[in-house]
Formats: sequence, C-alpha cells, structure tokens
Amino acid sequence: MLSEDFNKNAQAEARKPRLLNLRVSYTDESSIKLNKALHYVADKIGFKPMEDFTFIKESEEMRLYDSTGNTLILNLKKHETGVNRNPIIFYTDDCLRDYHRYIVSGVKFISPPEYTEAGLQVCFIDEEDNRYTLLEERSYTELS
Amino acid sequence: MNFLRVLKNDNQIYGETVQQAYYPEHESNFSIKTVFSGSRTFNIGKRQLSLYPESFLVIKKGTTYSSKIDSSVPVNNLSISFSPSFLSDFNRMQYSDHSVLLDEPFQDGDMPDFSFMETIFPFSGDMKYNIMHLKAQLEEGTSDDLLLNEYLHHCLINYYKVYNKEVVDKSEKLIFLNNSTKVEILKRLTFAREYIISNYNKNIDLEDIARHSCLSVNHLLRTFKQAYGQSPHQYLIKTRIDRSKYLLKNTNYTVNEIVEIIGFECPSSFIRLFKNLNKLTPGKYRLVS
Repeated sequence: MLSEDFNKNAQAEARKPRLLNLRVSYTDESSIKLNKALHYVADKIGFKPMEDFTFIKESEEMRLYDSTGNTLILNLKKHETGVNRNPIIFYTDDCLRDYHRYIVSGVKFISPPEYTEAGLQVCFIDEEDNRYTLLEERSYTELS
Repeated sequence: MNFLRVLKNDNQIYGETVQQAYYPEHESNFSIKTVFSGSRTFNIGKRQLSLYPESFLVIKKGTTYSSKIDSSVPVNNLSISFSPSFLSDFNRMQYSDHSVLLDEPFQDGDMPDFSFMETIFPFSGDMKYNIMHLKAQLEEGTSDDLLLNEYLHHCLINYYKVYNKEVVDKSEKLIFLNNSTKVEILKRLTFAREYIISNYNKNIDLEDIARHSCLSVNHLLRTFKQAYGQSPHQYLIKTRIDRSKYLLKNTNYTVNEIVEIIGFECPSSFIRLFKNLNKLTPGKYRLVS
C-alpha cells in the first residue's frame, strides 16, 4: 500500500538512484588489506552491494551497484609509505560530517579529528584493529 | 536561504541573505560573524567597522552593538552565538587536565578570558573550511544538533589558533618590557588595522589612521611595523589587493570597475602592483582561480 505522502517531492527525491564517490589511497604493502577495508567502509556507509566484490591489484576504479540502483564508485590510487601516515586513507570532502556519521554507524575512532598540514584527519579501526585514516585535504596556500 | 537554528544547549546559528537591513542595538553572547558576499557595518561603542568576506568578526559576551546592511548586491551573512555554558566548557577543556575534568565535571571556575580582543580576523584556512561546511549543513536542513555542535566546537578550536597567531604572536613582537603596555599598544594597533580594513576604499592617510588609533604618527609607524611586519600603507595596499582578488574570483566586475571599487586611482598602477605581488595579471588570476 502506498503511503499518503508517496507523491511528495522529498520522498521522490529519496528514491532517486544515487551516485556515490569514494576516493581511497593505499601503499603497496597494504594492498592485501584493501579488500577488507573497502568492505568495512562500504558496510559502514550503508552501501550493500548486490554482489560480493574483490579488489584486483592495480585497478584504479571499481563500480559497485546495490539493489535500489545506487552506484558506489571507488577511485583507488597508490601513495608512498610515510612515517606518520596510515597505509590506507579514505578521502572525504567534509571530515567532521563523516566522522559524525561513522560514529553513528558504530565505527571506533582512536582519537578526535586533528589538524595536519594535509588537512583535517581522524583515524579509525575495524574489528581486527586495522588502522585507517579519514582525510579531508585542505589547501592552505592562497593562489598567488 | 534564511535560517535560525537554536540548538538544545542554546547555541544559535543565524543566516540570511538581504540587501537592506538594520539590526538595532542589543547585547550579545560570545559571537562569530561572517559575510560571504557584500559587506555589513557594525557599530560597537564608538567604533564602526565593516565586515567583508575576507574577515570574520568576534564579539564578546555582554557587548552591546548595532549593525546595518545597505548594499547594491545581496549580502549573505552568518552569525554564530555561543551559549555561555558551551563556551566555558570549551575553555575548561583547553585549560584543565583530565583528572580535574573528571573530579569537577560541572564547575565553571575562573577561566582565562581568551576573547579580550574583540575585532576582525582573517577569514581563511580551517576557520573558513569549517564555517563553509557548517553553512552547507544548515542549508541542507540538517536537524542533527550533535553534528552542528561538532562544527561549533571546531570553530572555537580554529578561533583559538587564529587568536594566537593574530594577537598573541603579534604582541610578542612588540618590543616593550611591560606587559600591560604591550596589551594597550596592541589594542590601539587593532583599532588602526580595523580602520584600514573598514575604509580600505577611501582616500585615508596616516594621520587619519593615527588619530583613529590614539597613537602619534611616529609611534603608529614604529609599532605597526613591529607587530605586523609591514607599514600601515603596505597593509592598506595588501587589503585592497586581497579585496580585488575576492572580486576577481567571485564577481563579473571588469578590472576597471574593480579598480574603482577598491579605491585605486589608475588601472595601470593596479595591474602592475597586482602582478608584482601575485606573479599573475588580474585577468590571468581570474582565469585560473
């Protein structure tokens, strides 16, 4: 049975298929853990792919679909190993918003968001204590 | 889009876009005010200052002020008013260790007053990123108080950083032995800086700035350079160039129109100066920004 607000714009809007983008970078050594990380984060953002997926080494883009027509595009890129850098980094355009959403969906953070030269970042762990970074890159130099 | 959000802890965020408005004199909580286009004029005691998109204004709790918007373009502005309890809790977090916070979770106590300098600060970096994100959330109509408070908490963190850079660091550059003299000089230099920013497009001279800041011309020149690393005139030019960059990036005004708006006398000297400072002509800057 249709609900009485079925034709309201908000509901129609909510039913429109969405296109989600997730940018991820990883080190060579961490590539074996990337599959687990991608599954973990997809689950936490509430994306349930129609089919199971496996990260294939060197792939730069993966497209996942769910049963309601939503698409999750994973943009994958390698980064160099760094001293103060987690091996797997998830990028966001708003760190505080996603930090808050991840907390609500049960993600454990090991410290509050911190300001770095690269931008605002926060570290979280999965059930096996693998560490990941959520990073909002920020530009601090004015165009000159 | 206009909105007023009053959070459960009495923090308030108010945003609107108007061309003409008058806000009568009233007393404020500790507040941060920004504009994203156009300008807004504030009267705080005897001071009158103009807020442009390159700056944000901080107003102390208990200050009485009025303000006005009278603009040829729509002025999009956002004000955040922090409840005293949110602010004192934040201060305690900064100054107390965890054992004190656990033993006395609800005690306000006497905390250092970090908001003594009620003035305009550069609106850039993390402060700008966080306020832009907060604004986006409000415009999307988020109803999540926890998320909004997270942004407000970070606004205070960012304000601390800006305050340290713009006030504490600058006061340390002043060569006076007496601390109270340093504070008084910095206050007067702040009036000078405000006067330059608020009147950047007018034909102001050193005597005007000195009179406004209650310093002699020579005293102003010497101390301004100590604190800000440049003369008042250089600061005025930088303010004009920063405004021109905003206008090039965010409006369709021609370069000649911008030259007139920012108070330069001739386009060729503006273009030459702009290129010297930015390694780009104004036209190229507009293309790449």
